Amino acid sequence: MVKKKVLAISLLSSDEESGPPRKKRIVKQPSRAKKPVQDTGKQLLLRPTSAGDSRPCLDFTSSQPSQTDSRDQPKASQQPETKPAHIPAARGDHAQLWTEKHAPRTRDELVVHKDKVAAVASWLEQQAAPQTSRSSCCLLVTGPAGCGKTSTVEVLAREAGYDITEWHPPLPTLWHEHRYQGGLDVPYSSKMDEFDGFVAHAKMGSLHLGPSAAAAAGDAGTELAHQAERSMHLDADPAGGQSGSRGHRSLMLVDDLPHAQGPAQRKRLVSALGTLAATAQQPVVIIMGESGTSGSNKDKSAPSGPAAGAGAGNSAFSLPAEITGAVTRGGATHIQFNPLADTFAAKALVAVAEKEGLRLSKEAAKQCALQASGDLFHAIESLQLSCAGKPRTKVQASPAKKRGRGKAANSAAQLSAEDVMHTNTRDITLSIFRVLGKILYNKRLHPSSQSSDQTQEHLSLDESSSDHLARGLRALLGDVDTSRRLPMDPSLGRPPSEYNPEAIMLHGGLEANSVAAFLHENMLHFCGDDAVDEAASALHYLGDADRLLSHSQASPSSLSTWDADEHPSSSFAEAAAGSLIFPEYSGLATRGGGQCLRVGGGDAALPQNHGCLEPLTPSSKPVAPQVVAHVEWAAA
Amino acid sequence: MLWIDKYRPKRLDKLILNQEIGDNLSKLVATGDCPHTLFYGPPGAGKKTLIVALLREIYGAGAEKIKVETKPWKIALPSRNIEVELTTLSSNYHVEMNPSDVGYQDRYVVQEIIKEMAKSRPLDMKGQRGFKVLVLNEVDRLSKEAQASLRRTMEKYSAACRLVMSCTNVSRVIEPVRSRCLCVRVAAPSTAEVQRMLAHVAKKESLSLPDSLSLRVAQASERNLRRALLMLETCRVAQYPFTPDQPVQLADWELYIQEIASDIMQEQSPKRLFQVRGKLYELLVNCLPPTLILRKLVLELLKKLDEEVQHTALALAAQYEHRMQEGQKAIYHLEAFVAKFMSEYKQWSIMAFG
Repeated sequence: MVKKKVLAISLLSSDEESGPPRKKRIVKQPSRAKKPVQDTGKQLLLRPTSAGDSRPCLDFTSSQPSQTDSRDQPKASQQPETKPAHIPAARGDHAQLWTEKHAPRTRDELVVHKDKVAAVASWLEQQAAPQTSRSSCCLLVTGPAGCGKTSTVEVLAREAGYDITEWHPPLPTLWHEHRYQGGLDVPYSSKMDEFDGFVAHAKMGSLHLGPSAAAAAGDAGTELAHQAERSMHLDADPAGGQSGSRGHRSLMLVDDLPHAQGPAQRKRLVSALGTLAATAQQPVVIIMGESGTSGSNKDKSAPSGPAAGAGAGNSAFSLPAEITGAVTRGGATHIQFNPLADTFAAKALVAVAEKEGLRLSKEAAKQCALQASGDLFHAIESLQLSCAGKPRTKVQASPAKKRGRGKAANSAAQLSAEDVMHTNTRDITLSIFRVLGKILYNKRLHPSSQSSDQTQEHLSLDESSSDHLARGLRALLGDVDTSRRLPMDPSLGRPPSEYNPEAIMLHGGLEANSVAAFLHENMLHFCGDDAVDEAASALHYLGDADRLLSHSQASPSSLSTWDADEHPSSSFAEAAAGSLIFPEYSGLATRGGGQCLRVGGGDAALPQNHGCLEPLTPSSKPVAPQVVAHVEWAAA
Repeated sequence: MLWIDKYRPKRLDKLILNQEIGDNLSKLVATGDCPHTLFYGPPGAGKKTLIVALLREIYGAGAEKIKVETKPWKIALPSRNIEVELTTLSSNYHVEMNPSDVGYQDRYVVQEIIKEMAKSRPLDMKGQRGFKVLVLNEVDRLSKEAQASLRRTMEKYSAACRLVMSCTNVSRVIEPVRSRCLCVRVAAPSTAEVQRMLAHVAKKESLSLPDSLSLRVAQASERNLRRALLMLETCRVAQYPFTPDQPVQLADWELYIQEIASDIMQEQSPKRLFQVRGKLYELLVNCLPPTLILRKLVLELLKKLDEEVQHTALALAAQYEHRMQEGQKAIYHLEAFVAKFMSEYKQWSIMAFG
C-alpha cells in the first residue's frame, strides 16, 4: 500500500505561550493518507470549514519545495489552510489511487460479510446507548490485510454519526537525528512512550477531547501548544472538539499500532493496549492487521523455506495473539474479519473497473482476486497497475459499455486474464484446509486429456479453466520425464491429477509434520468402504514421512553439538511431502473408482518423488533407498 | 505400604529369586571393586531389587537413605542455553536417574549432567570405596546419540564412578556400551517361582492362599512378579478369605486391547479402522508405551488366528515395530500395522472362504 506521509512542522515561538518562556519546539505531525474511505473520511477527520483547523503545514508533496528547510519561517501557523493537508493540491484523476478513489461510502458498498458488518454496527449502537453498566467501550477488530476492517469501521461510524479521531504513530525520529537537533531541549520520547501517553490520556477522554478544552482554544497557536505539550497525535482535535459541542459523539480509532521490537517492547505494547481496553472512557476501536493461518499473510510470503516460514510464524503469530488476549481480558469486544472471499473480491474489482470505464472479464477479475488471496487493497492496486495506459471508455459512454462481448470490443477495452496475471507477483499461499482439500479430494483431469500429446491437451484445458494455479501445476505435470515411468497395465491407469501435490505443499507453506498429522487425521474419511488395502498403504507412506522427518531432526546432531532441533532441512521436509503424495493418490481415488490406486498413483507421482529424494540420499543413507524401494514396489 | 515394596529383599543374601546372581554379585563386591554393570530382563523380573541390594552390599545401610530431588539443570550449549528438568534419587554414595525422561534432549543429560557427576570424586570417607555409583534406568530408551556419549563417559571417568544400568531390551543398547559392561541377564521368574513368591508373601501376611488361585494369578501375571503381587493384593482387597474360583482382575488396558483385537477381527474396513484409531489414541493418552500396545495387540490377535496368518501377523508386527523405533509419532505406525493386518487378513479370508 502506498502511504503518503506529509510532514508538518510547526514552529512555536515562546511568545505564543502563556507559560514560562521556552525554546523552540519542533513537532512532527504526521498525517497519513487514509486507507479506503479517503475522500469521504477526510471531511470527518479534517473539516476545512472549521475555524480551528489552521494547523501549520508544510506540504512536501505540493509544489513548494522552498519551504522544506525554512525552519524559521515566521508563524507558519497563521496561514489558513483550507485544503485538507494530506490530499495534494493538484492531482489528476489518473494519478489518484483507485483504492482511495473507489473506497466504499455506504454500507451497501462494503464487500465485507454481512454478519461482520452487523456485528460492528450493533457494537456502535451499543456504545451510543446511555451506558448503565461500566463495561469496556473498546472494540478490537482483527483480520488479515485488505479485508476491509478500517473501511467497515469508518463507514459504519459515519453512518451512526460518530466523529472519528485517530491516533497515528508519529514519524520515526532516529536517535542521531534527535541528537542533531539536540540543542533544543526536547525530551526524546520513543514511540512507545508516546503511545503510553496516549493511553494514559484516553482514560480521561472527556478532558482533552471534550468540547470545552479544544473549543475554548480559539487561538490556533495555543491549541497547537496544547497539542505539543501532550505530545499527542490526534488528527482533527479541533474538529472533534467542536463537533462534541454540537452533540456529536466521537470515536477513537487506533489503526496503526506502534512498532514493537523485542520482548520488552512487546510486553509494553500489550500492557498498554490492555490498559486502554480496560480504562477507556469513550468508544475506542483498535484495528489490528493479523497474520492468521488463513494464508493471506504478507509475512509468510516465502513458504518454500520451512525455517523462514517458521520464523515468520513465530514473530508474526504470537504478538497478535498476545494483544488479542490482553485486550479481551480488558473487557473489549473482539470481532475477527476473515480474508475476503475470492468471489466477493472479484465482484468488487469488476465494479471498480466499471467505474473507471474499463471492462474486466469475469475471469480476469477472478484471477486478480485469487492472486491477491483475500487482500482487496492489493487486488485493486494491481488492477490499476495492469490497467495503466490501457484504452478506456468513458463511464457515461453507454454505447461502448453495451457493445457486448464482441471480439472487437474485447481487443479494445477488455482486460484479459493474462494482462492481470503478468503484473501480479504476489505469492499465492493456500490455507491449511485448502491444501488438505486439494490433496484429499484429489481431483483428476478429465479422461479426455489422456491422449498421446499431453501438452496439446494441457493447452486446451488451460483455455477452458480459469484457475491459474491448476494451470501452472498442469504445466509442471506435462513436463514429467516420461522415460522414467514404469510399465504398467493400462487398465489400472488413471488420468493425472489436477494438481501437483508438491506445488500444493509449497504454496501451503506448512511444516511437513503438521501436514502429515492433518492428512492422517482426515484420510480415513476419504477412503471407500472396502479400501482397506489403500488405507494400509497410505498409512505406510505416512509412516515413511514420519521416519524421514525424525531423521531430519536427529541426523545432524550426531555430527556435532550443533543444535539441529529447530532446523529441519528443507529437502527433508520436501521428501516427507513427497511421500505424502501416495496417501492422497491411494486414499482418495478409492472413493471415485475403486481401481487399484497404488498403480494409478505411480503414474504422475513417481518421477517427482524420485526427484525429491535424490538430493537427500547422501545425507541419510539408510532411509532414502528404502523409500525408493517402497515406491517401486508400490508401482510395480 | 504395597506388598511389592514391603517384601522386596534388601540384601543380596536375602534374595529369594535370582539367588545365583546375588551370590555372584556379592563375590564381585568382596574383591573390592566392581565393574560397570548392565542388568537386563523383562519387567518384574527383579532388576531393580538386584541393584538396590548391590548398592547396599557395596556401601552398607547408608545407601538406603535416599532423597528425591527434582531440579532444573541449566546446560550451556554453543548456540543457546537449555534447561532440563530431571528427577534424581540420591544417597551419599550413589545417584539414580532416568535420563530418557527428558525425551530428545537426553543426550545433553548424558553429556553434561552425568559427566558433571561422574567427574567429581567422592570425598574419602573413612575407608569407603573410592568410587560412587550412578544408576541409570531404562538405558534402552536413550537415543543413539545419548548412548554414544555415554560410552565416552564410561571410559573417561571410570576411576571415580561406576555406572549401573538397567534396561528391558538389551538389543536397543548399542554394542560399545554393552561391551564395556558386565551384562547381567535377569530372567523372568517361571510360573512356579511366581507361585512360590506368592505363597511366601501370603504366609508373611498370614493369609491362606488356595493353590488354584495362586496358579491363576501367576498365569495372568505373565511371569511378571510385580504384577503378580499387585494382582494378589487386589484380590485381597476385593475379597477375603480367598476362594479358589475368585476372578483375577486384569488391568483395564489389557481388556481394552482385547476389545481392539476383536474389533479388528470382526470387520476390516476404513470405518472400523477409524474406530480402532480412536481406541489407540485412548491408550496412548493414558501413557501406555506404544511398543507395549503393539506387542499386546499382536498377542491378542495371534490367539484368534489360523497358523497360516499368524506368520504374516508376526512379520508385520516386527516390521512396524521397527518403523516405530525410527519414527516419532507412534500412532502412524500402530495404525499402519492395523490397516496392513486388516488388508492381509481380508485377503486371506477371501482366499480361504471365498
